[in-house]
Amino acid sequence: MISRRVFLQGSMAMGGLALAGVSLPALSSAPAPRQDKTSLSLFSAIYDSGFPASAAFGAAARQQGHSIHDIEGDVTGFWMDHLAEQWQHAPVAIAGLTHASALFVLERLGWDHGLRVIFRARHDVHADGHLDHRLSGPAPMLNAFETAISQHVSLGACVAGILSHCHVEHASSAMSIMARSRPGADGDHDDIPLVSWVIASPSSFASACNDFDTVERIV
Amino acid sequence: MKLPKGVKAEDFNAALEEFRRVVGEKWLFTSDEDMHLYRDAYSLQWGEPNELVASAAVAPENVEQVQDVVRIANKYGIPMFAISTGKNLGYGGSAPNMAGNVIVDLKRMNKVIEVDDKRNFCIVEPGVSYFDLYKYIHERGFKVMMDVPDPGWGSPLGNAVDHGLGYTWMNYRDHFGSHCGMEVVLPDGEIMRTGMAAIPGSKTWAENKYGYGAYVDGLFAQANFGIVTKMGFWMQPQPDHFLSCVVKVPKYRDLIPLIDGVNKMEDQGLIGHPRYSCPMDPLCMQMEPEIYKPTPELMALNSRPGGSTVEEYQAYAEKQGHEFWNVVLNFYGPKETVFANWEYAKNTVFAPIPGVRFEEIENYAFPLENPEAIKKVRNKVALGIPNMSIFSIGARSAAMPEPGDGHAWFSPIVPRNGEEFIYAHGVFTKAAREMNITSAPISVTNVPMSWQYRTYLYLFPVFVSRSDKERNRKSIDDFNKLIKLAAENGWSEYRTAPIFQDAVAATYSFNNNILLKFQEQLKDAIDPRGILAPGRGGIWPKRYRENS
Repeated sequence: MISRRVFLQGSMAMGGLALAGVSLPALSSAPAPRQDKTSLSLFSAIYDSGFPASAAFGAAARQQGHSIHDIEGDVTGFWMDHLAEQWQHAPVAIAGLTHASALFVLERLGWDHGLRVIFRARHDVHADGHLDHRLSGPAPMLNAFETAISQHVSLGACVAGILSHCHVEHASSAMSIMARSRPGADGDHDDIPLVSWVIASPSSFASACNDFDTVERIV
Repeated sequence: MKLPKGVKAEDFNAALEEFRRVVGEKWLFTSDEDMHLYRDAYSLQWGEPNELVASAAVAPENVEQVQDVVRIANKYGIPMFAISTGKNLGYGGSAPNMAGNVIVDLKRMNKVIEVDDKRNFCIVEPGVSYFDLYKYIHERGFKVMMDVPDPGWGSPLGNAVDHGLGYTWMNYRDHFGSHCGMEVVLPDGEIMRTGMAAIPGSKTWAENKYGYGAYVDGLFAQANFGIVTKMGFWMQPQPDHFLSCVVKVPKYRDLIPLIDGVNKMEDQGLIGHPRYSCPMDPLCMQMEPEIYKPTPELMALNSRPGGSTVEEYQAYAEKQGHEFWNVVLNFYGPKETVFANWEYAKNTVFAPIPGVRFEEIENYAFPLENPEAIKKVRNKVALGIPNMSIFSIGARSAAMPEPGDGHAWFSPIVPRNGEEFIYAHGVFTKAAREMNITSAPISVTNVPMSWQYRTYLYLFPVFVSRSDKERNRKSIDDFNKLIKLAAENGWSEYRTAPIFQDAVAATYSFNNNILLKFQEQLKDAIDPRGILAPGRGGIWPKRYRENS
């Protein structure tokens, strides 16, 4: 079952960019990304092995040829050992499926290097097994996500798959999707909402809608 | 864009144009999207018309550019608010005290000027983060230990000038208290150095705080008399050994002898930061979810405004086999002495408490360089290792099931005395029940927060909601009432977000608020145009006092 509510938030025609990567078969029915001269290089796909869906994302991203990092609950090691130095030299794109607090931190660290969240999605699990997805970002990514989730692709694989659709020649949009996940698709459900995201240079992208960038309750 | 109060658009635009000439087009920010980055992510006024948002931001590269920017602001009467790395979550973030201020973003000034591990000090610029300093120290093999707050992305200088705190040895964890000498750009653009730093060619900038004459450094923390551009800090030499142990006591009123014992240990210089916990306390469960776990029964006890009674928690603790309180003691020094001091704590200091239990948690020899070993350290901050793990807490904690959008800390200073802390439990839980406070975990399980040396904080978060503005308005109202209630009992905040700074400053009211009036007199003399951080610390310049 899938229901959809789409509302256009902006209309910015932009040059297309694509993340390097291979689409999953289930994503093949989504509009194919145009083959562009310029593709966005993804420094790393970030996952957290403490959350099954996130771990599945890491595995799928790796399968697609992305470099991956497990933050194991805390972005400190990734920041200190890899990202800080990388961003100092060249602020490259990263993507992830993590808990919201990891995005909260990485987004703000990215700001200091001129980077912005250009795709953002929140995935809430309901008690009845439905997943409520709220997304904003480049329309091709949103469309690809919707296609994949309607085919009951697991959340982790779905998010990894749409990285290859990070392609913004169309309007920047937001959408809300309520979808039933395939039982056992990512192992046990994570009991806290996860977020998926891409942080990149905003020069070619509109920043993703920030209306739902709530952070987990933190101290 | 919100223009600052009392500034004409043509003056504002002229000032921006001059700022642009000083720092370059790239480092002047005026778009709404850019201003979003300087909002307080944890603001209780998020999205409200009165949210404290900046109008523009300027990012100088060096002290000369700071001077130029300040002179331009003076020329046009533009109010400015300086930030270092601009985090300060829970106490206002990067947001100014008054909407429309121009942010002076000092992140580009990120040089470590000096680190000395023989005389144990450092001198840094405002844009240096704890991560930066840690990296600098470890890449060069300096044998000094930092003192860091939670989380570690902030700036030692910025944290110090907001009276921030850390987790190691007594004087080091008071970050302003451990500073030594500073360089400041004054409101007229002049540059001043304090203490021994005022000597041209000084060889003891970061070692002797006072030099000669009046000690003025306090004017530049939680205040608005200048923009600090360099700061020295005393540092702790890296110890040979670290030992962490816990003392557990079974009864609620055991807090009294427990605090007495901790004071005896700490005031003799035998331990560093004592970390109190209660296994039933919501905040403790949230901060250390691997150790303190909620049950449905405990969640029910904690769900009432003000929590439940001492008797109910005591019964729950006994049923679960929990202690009521515990305190982690951290020992630093030669291996022989840290273990000897632990023996002294067990056999002499805490032994008289009936039912007391002792456990050794972990011990490490320095230098601690193995990344895998560092990963296993329970409280990395106790070893001066900056980290962001506190941000993963919300994701892992079941203790507070409702998702929140940040918090504002309520943090009055209270005496290091068990009877007084128990009395404070009574005051705040009664208030929570009477005011029906559901947005803050107030309970008789609240623990003393012991970051400050010689006083404790009665600290709890007031949670923010981005979606429920009515709840936020009630939280602001509750917060203001709690500030007054604390003051009626002789306590008041050590630090607070801008929207509460006037209320807190007003509680320091001896002799008809002469302390604040004195600061206002100074403000009018030093910053007659009232351009630097109007309202910070409750200090408003004449131009805004008269218009208030």
